[in-house]
Amino acid sequence: MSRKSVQFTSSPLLASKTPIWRSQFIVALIALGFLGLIVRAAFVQVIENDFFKHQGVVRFVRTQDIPADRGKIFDRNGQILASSVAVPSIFASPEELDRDISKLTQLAKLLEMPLQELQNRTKDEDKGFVWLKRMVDEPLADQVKALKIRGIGVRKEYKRIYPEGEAVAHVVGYTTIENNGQDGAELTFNKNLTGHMGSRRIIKNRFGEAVEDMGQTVEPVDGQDLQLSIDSKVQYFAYQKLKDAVLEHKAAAGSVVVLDVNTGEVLALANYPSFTPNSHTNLTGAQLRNRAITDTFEPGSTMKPFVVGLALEQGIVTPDTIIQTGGGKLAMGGFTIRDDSPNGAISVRQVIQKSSNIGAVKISLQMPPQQLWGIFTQVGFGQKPQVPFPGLVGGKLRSYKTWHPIEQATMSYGYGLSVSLFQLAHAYTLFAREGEIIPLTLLKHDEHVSGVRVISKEHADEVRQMLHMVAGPGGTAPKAQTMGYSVGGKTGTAHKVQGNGYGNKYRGFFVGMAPIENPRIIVAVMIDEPTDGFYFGGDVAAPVFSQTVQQALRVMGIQPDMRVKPQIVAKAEPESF
Amino acid sequence: MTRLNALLLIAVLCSAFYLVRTQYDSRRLYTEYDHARSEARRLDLERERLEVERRSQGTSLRVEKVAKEQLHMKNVTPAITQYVLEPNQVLANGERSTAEPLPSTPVAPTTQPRPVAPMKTQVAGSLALKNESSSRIEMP
Repeated sequence: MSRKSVQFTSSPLLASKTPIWRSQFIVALIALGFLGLIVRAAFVQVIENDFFKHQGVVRFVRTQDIPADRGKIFDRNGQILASSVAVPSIFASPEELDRDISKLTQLAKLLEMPLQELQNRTKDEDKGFVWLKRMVDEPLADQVKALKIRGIGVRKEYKRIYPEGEAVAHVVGYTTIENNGQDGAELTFNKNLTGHMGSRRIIKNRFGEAVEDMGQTVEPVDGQDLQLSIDSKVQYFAYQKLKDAVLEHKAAAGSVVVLDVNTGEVLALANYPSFTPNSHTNLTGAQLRNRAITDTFEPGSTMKPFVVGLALEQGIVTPDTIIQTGGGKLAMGGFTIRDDSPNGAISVRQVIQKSSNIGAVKISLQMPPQQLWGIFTQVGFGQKPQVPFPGLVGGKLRSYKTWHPIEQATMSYGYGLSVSLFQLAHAYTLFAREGEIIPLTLLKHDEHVSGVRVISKEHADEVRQMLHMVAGPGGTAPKAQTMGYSVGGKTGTAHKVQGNGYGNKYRGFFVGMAPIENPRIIVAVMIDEPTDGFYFGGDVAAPVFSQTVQQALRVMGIQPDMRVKPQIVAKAEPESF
Repeated sequence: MTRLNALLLIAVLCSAFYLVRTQYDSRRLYTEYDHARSEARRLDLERERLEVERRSQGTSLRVEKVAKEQLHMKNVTPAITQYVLEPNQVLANGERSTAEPLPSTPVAPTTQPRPVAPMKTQVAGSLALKNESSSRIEMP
């Protein structure tokens, strides 16, 4: 082969035969590659499918809580007493927190928190979430957002707001920051008020927007709204008048209860001192105590009408029976029972009107202890009231089997047993409802409620007339009178137990009803430890009764039943054409 | 045969693209729906907040304070109230009232029971100022 015979278009290398194994080797390699892919595909798609699916889900699917609203609390007219509103809370995520000191200083300043404390709280870098400041104002949250610090965020939380403030604080109660009822109706009806949180599973895109619903949505269930029997206007007046009286008489505390006689609804229940439920920090026990239902005391003379009612029922006396009360002192078993002033021979009517202890004792000793115990029990003393509410107490009423005659005597004018103001108000439905005791409720129901008959209508009416005399001339509580409405009630003034005996501290109370012929409301007032010299129930509690009755009946739209001297200063002239 | 295959291929491709498009639309719409829903929730919360705010501006405490301090009003008493029976109002004793209004002051002896019926109260004279939250306040 000459040199020239080799042309550039041909290559001697190509002419040489390639061994067959080379192409086979390549094919085998490619086949192996495909096999690898197939195995991997099978591994991903079949064998470990669940794992990979799960990993996908973890990266894109989020389970989101859907918050449920806590139910609102309304008064009987639909005014809001408690409602939840969304307020911002500020949190930090220490694991991704930007620890730029100048930014953190700004943040600490906004949060009114020392920088040191802020750093302490966010020290643990493993933590994903810590609250910095909860329930802040909207503008502050906006300022924090404007700082744009990585790892600092704002989240909405629900805060309970109580527009009526301290006036209804004890009835409505309050909740913890986690929205659990702590006191009052918030606690009693916590189950109904609390809703159930819902949830949904969604796919989020990289902007954090929800793009697909995974179809496992649980709808949230909002809490039920609650309508109380409280009338916020009556409650407000009652609270204001009570507060004025407590401050005026330099008293330690006071309570007032207003009941609707027809329906057994509690229209108002207020105590002073009270608290502001919107910011319930640094509260003292004295402020928190719902005295009207948790505090029991010896009811003093307010017991006498029950003794007289029973005596009338048993036919032992008539309203005109004369009782000899002598010179105002009665020695009995080593004790002396006293009247505030000597009354001489007085009728049963006057025993109530003048509040004669001796008269009440003489009437009560004509009856067996069992009967007396019976009426006290029937009107609810010594038993916890059947009203769902926290802190209710039953007071003390010992079994008649253990009574000594002197105890029976002192019980007839209200010493030796204890009741709460709520129980006392309840017991007086006996006279307002013509011999019936009715069940009470804190929830609105607006219907006439039937009661249990304890004494006959005739005798209950007779006692009610005596109660009317108490507020009249010659009675112990002329200050209970109110313009336009006839009233009746009973004063009570009780020495407080101090140590082993009775000291010179007092409680003054007044329980009454109006209008006297057809009572619509019962108002019970208690003033604890008045220290300005006045302590008789007729002086300290009766004026609160009078003012509360005046405003409550007006709010309820009840026409006055008494003649009032008109003081209308200007009359509208008919328009002339 | 080849033609049919090509046709089916095109059909499959169309269907696949359509699926992608639908999926995209569905996600886009879901995002919009979600935005709308959270907006609704936000507005709902805002409404609730404003309602509470309105109520706190209209509590008896505030109304009385403003009425007394700024408007120099005083509390109403029965002496300066004219009580008017609504026509044909059924009284507590079952009788129907006559449409005649009562005299300017209610007159009834204390000892005689009278039917007590819910009354429409009217504050006397042209000076009357009725406040929705509190009808017991009147100009002096």
